[in-house]
Amino acid sequence: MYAYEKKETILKVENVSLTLGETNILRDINIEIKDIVRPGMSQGQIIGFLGPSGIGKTKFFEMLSGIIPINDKNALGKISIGQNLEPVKLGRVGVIQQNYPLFEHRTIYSNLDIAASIKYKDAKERAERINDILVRFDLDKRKKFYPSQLSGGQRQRVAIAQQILCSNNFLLMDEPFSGLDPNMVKKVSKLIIEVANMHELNTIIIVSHDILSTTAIADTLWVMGRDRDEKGEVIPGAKIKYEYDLIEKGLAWRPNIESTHEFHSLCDELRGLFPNL
Amino acid sequence: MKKIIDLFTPNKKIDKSTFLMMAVGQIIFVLFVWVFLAPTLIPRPLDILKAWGTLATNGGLIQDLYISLKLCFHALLIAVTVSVLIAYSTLLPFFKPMGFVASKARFLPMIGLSFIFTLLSATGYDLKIKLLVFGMSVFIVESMIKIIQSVTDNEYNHARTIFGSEWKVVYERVILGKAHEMLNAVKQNFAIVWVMLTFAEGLVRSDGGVGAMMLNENKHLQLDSVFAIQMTLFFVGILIDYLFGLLRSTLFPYADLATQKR
Repeated sequence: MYAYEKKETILKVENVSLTLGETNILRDINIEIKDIVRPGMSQGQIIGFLGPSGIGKTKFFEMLSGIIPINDKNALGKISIGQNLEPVKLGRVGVIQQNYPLFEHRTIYSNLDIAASIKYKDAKERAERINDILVRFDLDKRKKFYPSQLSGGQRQRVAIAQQILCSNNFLLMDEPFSGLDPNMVKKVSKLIIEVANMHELNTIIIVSHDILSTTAIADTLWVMGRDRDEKGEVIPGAKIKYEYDLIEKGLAWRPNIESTHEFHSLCDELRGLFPNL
Repeated sequence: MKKIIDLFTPNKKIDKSTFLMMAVGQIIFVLFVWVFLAPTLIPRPLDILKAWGTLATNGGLIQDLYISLKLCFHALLIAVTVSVLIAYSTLLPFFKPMGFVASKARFLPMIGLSFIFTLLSATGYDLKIKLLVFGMSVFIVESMIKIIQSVTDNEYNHARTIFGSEWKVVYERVILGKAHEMLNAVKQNFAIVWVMLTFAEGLVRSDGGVGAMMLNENKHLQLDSVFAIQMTLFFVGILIDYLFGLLRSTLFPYADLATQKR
């Protein structure tokens, strides 16, 4: 077991529900993320967000990022982020979508520059940040390229870099392992861990169907599903039905976790949950 | 034999020399049909060339071409300005119906409209401009609105998570992000104004222009001259189309990168 402490809450979701038309998409979502502190190192948070397709994960993402704002009509509840737990606002939470949309009319450097200009007004500081991240993400040789000239992996790195430069510690990633071969999954997993640990408050929430890859790097798992009534009928409106603290279970941050028996038992348990979600 | 099979295989890549040989072969075939098999009424290439020489040296073809090009680009400038304004304004809900009506106006017949425009125009030139601008705008607006609507929710949401402000999102995603496609819409629809030119110039022949010249030659059954003017319009049209393409690739070097990759 590693020494750690869970300090202040940095993301709090209270009684969130969403209705679109007549359909209840989300209901009664209450979760929170605390800053995990480990002595002598910068430890970010990685949350794996699992659930069947079409359950409402993307809509919840859109609420977490402020794309769907809380409006007291169909989107109810409260979402607060940061050390001061301020209400979430569009632009504060980075979202990395599955197909990595970028600004195709801008070069890689310009894509990062336009994002960084939101947070860093001083041109010199901005250039330093961009160049630093280009080197970190092994993109410095591609900075004059346009997005359509990049490979899928390079696009993903630019998309992550772009969101890191403009958002405040929170990143939502939609299916980062989708369509990748095992080698690329390893690389992306390593990158996510690196990004999370770049800052103590960095928090990455990963939506994925890849239970193995997500569980291997997460410290917490949320499993979204819907309740059923006495007759077994689905009650509309998804919620976080299960939350797994992988640190407590001794399954977080361990190198080669995929080769352990406990890890595979947990993945089997998670798979077993899916038919009833 | 394999090369011939390749020419009739879908999406088959063929080398440059084969392509060149095939293209030259097709041109020779067309010329052969034209020279030896076409009805005698159709002027032959040599007759057309001779007529073109006469028109260019003594017939005022070059001056008339200049008059037509001036008119065409004047109309194009106004049509693009009007179309861009209407198309972009559809991003604001208040102006959506206007954009919808403007794009559907392409189903209105020009003959009926020419009478209304005649009443509204002080000079012949004015009338031609109005007809060309209308004829072109209704098509460009339709293309431009489609381009604006092609921005996906994912693309909008990506920009929203960066900028927050919807005005900035629209500026980046639609105005800057789709500028190359907008120019392409102008390029594609330019052919419409080019084809309409003869119709508009035919209505007011006193100002000259290749359209008026062609109708005059047609009236006197000078078919070789009519073909010479047609060919001039055809080749100048292709040249302008090429120049539009050149402008697009110079201003927007990223525009065709994705297709070049394939």
